[in-house]
Amino acid sequence: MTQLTPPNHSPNLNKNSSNSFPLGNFLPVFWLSIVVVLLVSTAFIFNRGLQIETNLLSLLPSFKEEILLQKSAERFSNQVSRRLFFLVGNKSEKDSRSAALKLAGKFKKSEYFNSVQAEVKNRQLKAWYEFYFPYRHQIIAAEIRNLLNQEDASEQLLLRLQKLLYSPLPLYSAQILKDDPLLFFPSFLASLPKPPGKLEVIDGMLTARESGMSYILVNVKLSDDPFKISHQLQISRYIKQVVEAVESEIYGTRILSSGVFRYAAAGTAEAQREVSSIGLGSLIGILVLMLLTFRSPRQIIVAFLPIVVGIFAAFTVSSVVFPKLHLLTLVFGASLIGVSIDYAFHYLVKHRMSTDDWNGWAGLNAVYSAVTMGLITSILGYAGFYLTPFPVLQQIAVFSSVGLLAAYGTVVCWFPVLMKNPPKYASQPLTMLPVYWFLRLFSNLPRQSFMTAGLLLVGVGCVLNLMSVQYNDDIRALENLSPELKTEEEKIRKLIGGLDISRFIVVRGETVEELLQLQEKATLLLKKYAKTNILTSGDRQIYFQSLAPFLVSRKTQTENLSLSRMVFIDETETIAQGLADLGFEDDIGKRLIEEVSQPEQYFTASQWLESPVSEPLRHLWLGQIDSEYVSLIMLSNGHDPEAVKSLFRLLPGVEYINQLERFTALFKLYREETTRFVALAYVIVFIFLLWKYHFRKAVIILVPPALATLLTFSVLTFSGQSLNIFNIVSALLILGIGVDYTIFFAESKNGAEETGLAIMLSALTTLLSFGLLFLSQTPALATVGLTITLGIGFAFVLSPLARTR
Amino acid sequence: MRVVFIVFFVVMFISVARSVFATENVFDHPITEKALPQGLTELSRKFGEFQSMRSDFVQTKKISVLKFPLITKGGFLYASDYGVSWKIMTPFEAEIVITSAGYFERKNGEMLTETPASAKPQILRYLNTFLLLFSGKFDELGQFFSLSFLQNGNDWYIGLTPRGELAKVIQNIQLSGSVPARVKKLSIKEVNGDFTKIKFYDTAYSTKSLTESEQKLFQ
Repeated sequence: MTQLTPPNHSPNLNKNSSNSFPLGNFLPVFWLSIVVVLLVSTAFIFNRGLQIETNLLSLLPSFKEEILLQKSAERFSNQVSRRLFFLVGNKSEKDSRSAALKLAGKFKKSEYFNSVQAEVKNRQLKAWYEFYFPYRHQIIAAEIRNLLNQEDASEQLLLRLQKLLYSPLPLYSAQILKDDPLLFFPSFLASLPKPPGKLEVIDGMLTARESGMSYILVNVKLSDDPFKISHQLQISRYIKQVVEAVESEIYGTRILSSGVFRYAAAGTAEAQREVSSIGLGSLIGILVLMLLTFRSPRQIIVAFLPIVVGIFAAFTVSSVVFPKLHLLTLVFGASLIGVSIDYAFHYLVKHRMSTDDWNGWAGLNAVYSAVTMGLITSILGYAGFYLTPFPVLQQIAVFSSVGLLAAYGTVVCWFPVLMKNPPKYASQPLTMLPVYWFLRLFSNLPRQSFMTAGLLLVGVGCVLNLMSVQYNDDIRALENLSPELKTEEEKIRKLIGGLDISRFIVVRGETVEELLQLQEKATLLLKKYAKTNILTSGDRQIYFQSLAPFLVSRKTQTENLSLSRMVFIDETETIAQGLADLGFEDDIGKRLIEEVSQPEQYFTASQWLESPVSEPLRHLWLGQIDSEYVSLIMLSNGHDPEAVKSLFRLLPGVEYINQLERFTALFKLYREETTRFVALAYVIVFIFLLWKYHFRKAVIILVPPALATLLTFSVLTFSGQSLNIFNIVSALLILGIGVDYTIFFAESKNGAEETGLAIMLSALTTLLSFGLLFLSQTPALATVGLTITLGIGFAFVLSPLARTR
Repeated sequence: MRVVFIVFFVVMFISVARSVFATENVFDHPITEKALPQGLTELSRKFGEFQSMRSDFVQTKKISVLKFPLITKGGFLYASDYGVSWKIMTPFEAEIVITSAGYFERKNGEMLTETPASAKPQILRYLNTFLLLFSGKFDELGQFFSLSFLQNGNDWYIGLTPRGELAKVIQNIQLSGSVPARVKKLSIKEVNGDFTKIKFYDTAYSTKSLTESEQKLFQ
C-alpha cells in the first residue's frame, strides 16, 4: 500500500480559510431562505389537496384523435372501477339469502359505499311496462318484424298468437292481451339479451346455483375512487372484517368478491409489504454501512438531507409547472434524485478522512469541481427528456433536474456549516479496507493498451449479444396477481359471466340519432358474428352488452311503426276476424288500427336515461364528449380481439378498443423514445466533457458507465430476460451514477482512496436501496432491481479506469 | 270448427264440473312435516318404475280476456330420460318438446328454439316443474312449492303451491290420478283467474326405453 498517499495532507484544508470559498458566509443563509420558501409552498400544495395521477392512460402523448377515446375510456373506467361484487354462497339457499341480506345490511351502514344492492326491485317490471308499452309498435322484436315483412303477415301473426295461447305454458301476459292482442310487447321483452352467466332472479334476489351451492349476488358501489390509496387499506380491512363476521355467523357461508378495488387494494397491500420488508432490509444495511464508516449518527442524517430537500424542491417546482403529477414521475424522479447521495458521500468522506485542521469550506473546495461536474452531467442527461412529446417524460426531466439541483445546493451551501467540526475519530474507517484492496487490484492490472483492447473486445461482444435483445412491453408483466385472487375471479366470472373491461367497442356520432343508428348497425354485425362464433375460453357463446335493443333509434322506431301500420291497415279484415275467432272482443281490430294510426311519438335518449329501466345499462352511455356523443358496447371475456376488431373495418365511428394493446403499444413507444434519449444523453454528456476535458479523458470518463450498461443489458439478454421501459430508465440511472463515479475519480488527483471510499459507499447504498428490489414479487420491479444491481456493480468496478495517475 | 269447439267445451265442462264436485280439496291437506308422507313416497317410487308414459290429452285453457276457453287435443309422451313431447292435433297441428334445456317447437323434423335455457327464470321453473311432476320427484318439487297430498280410496291428489317468484303468476298446480301411478289430470290455476286443465286419456306406461323413432322426437 505504499503508493497510496495518506489522506490527511491536502494543503488547502487549513483552519483559517473560512473564506476560502467565495460567498462562504452568505450561502448558508441564502439556502435556508430557499428551503423555507420550498417548505411553505409544499405545505400550500398539500393543503390545496394533493392530486396525483395514477391513470396509465395519461401517459399518452396528446395526439388529437386519441383524446376522445382516452376520455371515453376514462369516463367508463370511472364508472366501472367503483363496482364491487359479492357472491354469498351456502349449501342452503335460505341461509345464503339471509347471509346476503346480513352482508348488505352491514355495508349499508358504512360510509364507504354509496349503493348496496342485494335485492332486485319488484317495481322494475312495472317500470319496463310503463316505459316501453306505449311504444310497442315502434320497438318490434326481430321475430315479429320478420313476420310483418312476409306476404301473409296477418296469417303469420295470428298463427304465432294461436300457438302462444294454446300452448301448455301459462300466458304470463294475459292482462295485456286487451291492449296488445298480438303480443308485441312480450315479444320485445323476450328479445332483449339476458344477462350472461348463471344468475337468475329468484324471489327478488340474483341467484346462481352451482355444484350444490346457491350464490346470491350483492352489488356494491364505492363512494370513492378505488385507487385512492389513503382509504384503500381501511376499506379492505373493513370489508374483510364484515365478510368474516357474516361467514362465521351463518354456518357454511362462503363469500366471494371481485372488482377493480380488490386488485387495487391487493396491489397496494403487496407494495406496502414489500416496501416494509425490502425497505427495512435496505435501511438496516445502509445504516450499518454508514455507522461503520462515520461512527456517528450525525453524518447519516446529513447524508440524507440533500435527498429530502431535493425531493421537496422537485415536488414543489413540478407541481407549479405541471397541473397534475403522475405517480410514475414521483417513482422515477425520486430514484433519479437518489443520485445526489454521491455528492453527500464525497463531502462526508473528505471530512471523515481529515484531521483536526479541518475547515468546512476548504473541504468543499476540494470536492467542489467533482460534485459540480457530476451534477451538470446528470442534469444534462436527464433534461433531454424535456424535448420528448410525452408528458410524463417531461415531468420526470423537470422533477429530477430540480431535485438534483436542490440536493447539490444543500451539499454546497449547508454541509460546510453542518460539518464545521473536525471528525472525532482519527483512525481509518473500517470500510476503507476493501477500498484499498479494490484499488490495489486495479493498479496491478495489465498495461493500459492491453486493457483497452480487452475492454473493446468486451464492448463488441456485448453489442453483438444485444442484437438478440428481446423486448416485452406487455403491461400485464407489471401486475402481480396472487393465484388466490385469480381463482376467485375465475369462479365469479363463471357464475356471473364477466364482461371484459379492458377491451370494448366505442361508438360515436355527431348527433345522438347518428350514434343510435351506428350502435344498431354495430350490434347487428356483432349478433351475426356471435351466432357463428364461440369464445376462445370455452364453448359458451359470445355475449355482448349493447344499448341498441333498449335504446332504439328514431329511424328504426319510424320504420317499425310504419311497417305495423301498413300490415294492420292493409289486412284489417283478416286480423279482426282471426282475433274474433279466438274469442277477443269484437272491436279489437278497430282498436288496433286506431292505436297505430295515432301521431308518432318517439322516446328519446334523455327520456330513457331518466327512466329506471336504463339503470342496469347506464354505464354504457358516456354521453357528450367534446362535440360528439359516445356509447360503449361491452363484450364477454375470452372473445377473439382480432376477429371482433375486423368486424367494424367498414363502419367509421365504431372502434374496437383494446386497452391492453394500447398500453402495450404505449409502453413500447415510451421505451423506444427513452432509448433514443438515453443515447442522446450520452452524446450531450460527452460534448460537455469534451468542452471541459481533453478528448482522451472525456472518453475515459464515459466508457465505464457505457460499458457497465452494455454489460448489464448483455447479461440480462443472455439470461433470457426481456427488457421493457423500466430497464431503459434504469440505464439512465446507471449513466447518472456511473459518470459521477468516474468524474470523482478523474477529479480526485491524489485522494484516490477517499474518492474510492465515497464511491463505494454510494454504490453500496444504491445497491441496498435499488438492488434489493430484485427480491420483489412484482416482476417489473424485480427486473429494475436486477438491472440496477448489475449496472451499478459494473459501473463501480470499472470506475477506477477514469483515475488519473 | 267452431261447433267442434263448443261441443268440446260442453264435454269438458261437464267432466271438469263432475270431478270438482266429487273431490275434496287437496289444498286442505298440506304436508307440514319435513319428510314426505308414506303414500306420496310410495307414489314417487311407483312413478320412478316407469320409463315412459303415452297418452292422449285434452287441454282446456281459460283466459279471462277471451270470451271462450281454448281447447287443444293431441298426444302426449313423457320419457324420464328425455322430457315431454306435446303433439297438438286440433285446432292446428304443432309439435312441442319440453326438455331440461327449454321449450321448443319442432317443425319439419327440426327443433326451433322457442324459449331457450336463458329465458325468463319463471318459465324455466315452470317447465322444470312440468318435468318433475311426471318423473314423480316430489321431494325436489318441495324446494319451490309447498306440497299438499290427499289420498281418497284409489284416487290421489298432489297439490303444489308455489313459493317465491312463481307465486306471482301461478296460484297453484294440482296433479291427480289413481293408484298405482296413473295420471289423470293436471290443472294449473293462475293468479289472475286464468286456468289450464289437462286431462289424460288412454294412458299407457312402459318400463322400456323409447323406440328409435320416438327418440328422434327429442333431437
